[in-house]
Amino acid sequence: MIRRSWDLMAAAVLLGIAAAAVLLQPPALFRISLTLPLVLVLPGYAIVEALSTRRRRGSERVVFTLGASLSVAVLAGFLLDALPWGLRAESWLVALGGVTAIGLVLASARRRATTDPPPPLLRRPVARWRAVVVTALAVAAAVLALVVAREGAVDQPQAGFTRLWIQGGPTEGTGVVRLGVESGELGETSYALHLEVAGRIKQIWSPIVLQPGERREVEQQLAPAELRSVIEGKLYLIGVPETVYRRVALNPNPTARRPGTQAALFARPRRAETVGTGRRCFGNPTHWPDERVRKSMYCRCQVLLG
Amino acid sequence: MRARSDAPILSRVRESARSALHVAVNEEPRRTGGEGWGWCPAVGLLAALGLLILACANTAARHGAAWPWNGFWVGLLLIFVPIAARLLSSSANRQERLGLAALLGVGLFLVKVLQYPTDFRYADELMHWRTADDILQMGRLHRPNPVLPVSPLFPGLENLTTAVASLSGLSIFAAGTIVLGVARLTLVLALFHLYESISGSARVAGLGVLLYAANPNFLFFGVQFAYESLALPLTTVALFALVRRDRRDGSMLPSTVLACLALAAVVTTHHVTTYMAVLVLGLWALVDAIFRRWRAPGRLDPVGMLVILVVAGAAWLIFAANLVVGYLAPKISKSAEELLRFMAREESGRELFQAVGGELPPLWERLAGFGATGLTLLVLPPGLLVLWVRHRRTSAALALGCLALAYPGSLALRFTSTGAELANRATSFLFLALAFVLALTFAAAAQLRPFRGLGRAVLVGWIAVIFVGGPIVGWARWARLPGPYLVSADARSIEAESLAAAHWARAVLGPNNRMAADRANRLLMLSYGRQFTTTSLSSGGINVGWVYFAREIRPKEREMLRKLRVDYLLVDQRLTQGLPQSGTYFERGEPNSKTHTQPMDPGMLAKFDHLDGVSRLYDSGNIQIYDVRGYLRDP
Repeated sequence: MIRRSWDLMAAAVLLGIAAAAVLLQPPALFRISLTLPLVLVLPGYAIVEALSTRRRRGSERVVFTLGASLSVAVLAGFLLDALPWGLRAESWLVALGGVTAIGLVLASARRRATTDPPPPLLRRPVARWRAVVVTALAVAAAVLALVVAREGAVDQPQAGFTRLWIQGGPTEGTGVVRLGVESGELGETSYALHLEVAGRIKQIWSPIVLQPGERREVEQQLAPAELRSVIEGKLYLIGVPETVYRRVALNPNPTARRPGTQAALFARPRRAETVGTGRRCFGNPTHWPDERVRKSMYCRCQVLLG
Repeated sequence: MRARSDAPILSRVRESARSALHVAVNEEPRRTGGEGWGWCPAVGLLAALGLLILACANTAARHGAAWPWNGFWVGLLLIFVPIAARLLSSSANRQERLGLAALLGVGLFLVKVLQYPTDFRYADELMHWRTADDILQMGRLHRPNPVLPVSPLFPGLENLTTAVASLSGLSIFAAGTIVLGVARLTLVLALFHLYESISGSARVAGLGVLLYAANPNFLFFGVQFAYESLALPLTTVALFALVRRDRRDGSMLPSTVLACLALAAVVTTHHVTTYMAVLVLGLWALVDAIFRRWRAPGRLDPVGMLVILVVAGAAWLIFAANLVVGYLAPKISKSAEELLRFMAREESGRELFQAVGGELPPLWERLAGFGATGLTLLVLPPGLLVLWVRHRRTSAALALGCLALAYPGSLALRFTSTGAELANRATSFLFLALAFVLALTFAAAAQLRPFRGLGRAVLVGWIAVIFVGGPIVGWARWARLPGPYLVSADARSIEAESLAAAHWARAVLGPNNRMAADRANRLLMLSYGRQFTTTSLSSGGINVGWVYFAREIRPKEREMLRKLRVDYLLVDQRLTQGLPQSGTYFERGEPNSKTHTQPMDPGMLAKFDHLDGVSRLYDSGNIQIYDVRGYLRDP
């Protein structure tokens, strides 16, 4: 009996282990390696073995096993959607585990009823050390390729940038305005943040020194009358006080025109304008004329232009 | 001897040709090489080195270096050529051929993974990511997807991915990549068995997989996180199961059940693949009916399965996915209209290989593109001849032969702008048949004396040219490698600043606000930002591009925004820095769509700063997000 259905018993054990992995949530690596067969292999294998009246060629079984497993998971999703529990880890476990278990039981019964020869036991592979070494080298090279590609993607050169945002006030029906600054620059950067109401400075936070990835949020209580005016947040780079680096605004009153809005908020250079050596300012940062500019961001370019 | 020399030249030529054909179609490989994986490990090592070169090329391309363009091809050919050489060889055994086919499939799949190994970047991938994320977040199917409304109606891929993600705890990207890898492996293994079952030859099967890999969509499009990447492998499994059915050996019931299972999954996974499967089965049933007398004993006709598929496909279309008609019909009708106008010489054809701004790829790439198509067409007739001589009693083979004849016809569509995309998409399906016919040619040619030994290099080179032509014809040059920012260039437009804006929107604005944005930011806002980004597809045909392109906001533009019910509006100043690589800044139907000759004027984007009631909530230099709810509110 064991000889006749050793593969089905192995599949049942794998199913049990996968179920335990889903319920007990072991460390990620174990959970991943133990649960993947539950979706991608076991349901299909159980179905193929339950249906087959004769031994198929090994590679054919692989094709049907993979195809049936993928199909079962696709279709099981619709079944789970129709049930109150929806598509959750536990319901997936019940659905895919149930299909596998039923398939294994049917396959076992079918085998008991037939006189087919038992499935071949796994043979110990003949050790051809050259092939093993070459295969190991191939796998190592492929893994190295993945590592190189991943590192390259993570370290891709990016232009630095700073985010400024504004919340609260009239849009949320509160008297508190919140401003946030987050640095995505390539190095430590110092800022000065101004809060202006109707064109007059209400509050200044300076210096705000941020490391790359660091953020700072501030808030200011405003009077009800002030909330009916244009509320602006202006961010300056320390040392470049004449140029607004970032600007946000709450414009609660449709009838109030913001002071100074007849001109563009940022006088951006038009596309064909040039910098320094005459090369184009915008586009590929590696085309920028000098290292100082390249290391900065697009908008810093405007700052340098004055 | 004298009589022979006196024979008319035509008779001698005919006799020689007949003799060559006899050798080509009847002679079996003399050496089978016994059992084992043969050269698989060594070829695998070369393929892995090819991947390493590609990884280095990708990294260098991100830094703006120039050599990766050559490195890309070197890496690809290092994967492809050794496998091609072994599959053409007569000394490889079945197991080695099967191993090489799997190696090719997985190796070329990894090429795409190496391009963007940390997250999904292609436009279609981000749309499907949103559908998968909706399922994962809410545990329910069919949540609306504003950018691709048909995606939630065909959630097969997302079902599978979320099953893996839920059970294993992996991210959608990691789970999706594993699913796509398994789907790719399934595709090449099923193709191998399909071709082997039809031709009875492992050599033809291996070459068939090799030539299928030369289709323009195999390298990138066919393994992106989108529904076709799963539906096509499942269709191939179903076809193999149907070909495998035989009353005599007890395989009828299991094969029929497996085919039904796979086709049911296809119907719920991808619309176009379903209709192509109907086409293939219909053609097969027709051919089988015509040549019924040749049917092998025990073999079953595909009519029953065709009926089941048609009923299932129609039921899904009517009861669950009726949006598909509105989604597909305009594209098909516009392609047909353009083709007819082109044939009637009312419209000049699309310039082949011409990118945005009139840029042309290097001469050798254009030659390779034309050469690949020409060489494919050249080996098609001999393949059909071999098919008729050797496999005409197999209705599935004849059906594949008929389908392969559609390939030359599909090339005509490439001369129209809308049809070019359809023709490109169709190659994934047409190559199922074309690869088989071409494989018959190459398997036969490899038996001929001139192509033995070193002469085989000619065949390897021939196939390599067809392979190289695939990505050239099917994938934009700028999209083959990662690199610095480009305007409206899908994956190349995704940078940290855009990602940061999307994450900010999700965290601060909350999900599902109606937001207008350009093409690249719209996808990021849809996926990572979880916003309800407006498109003409989801907004009754209103194209927000007209609002952005207007010099000022007049009542007409304001009315458009009101109809779109826009809450927030995103402006990306980088749109003023270059022409859109994909042809549009926002979506088709915008002003000068696909024919832009100069970048957007900065004034067009600055106009939102002058509107009363518009709040500028976010500014990161290039990207600003405006709250327009106050502006659109009734006075």
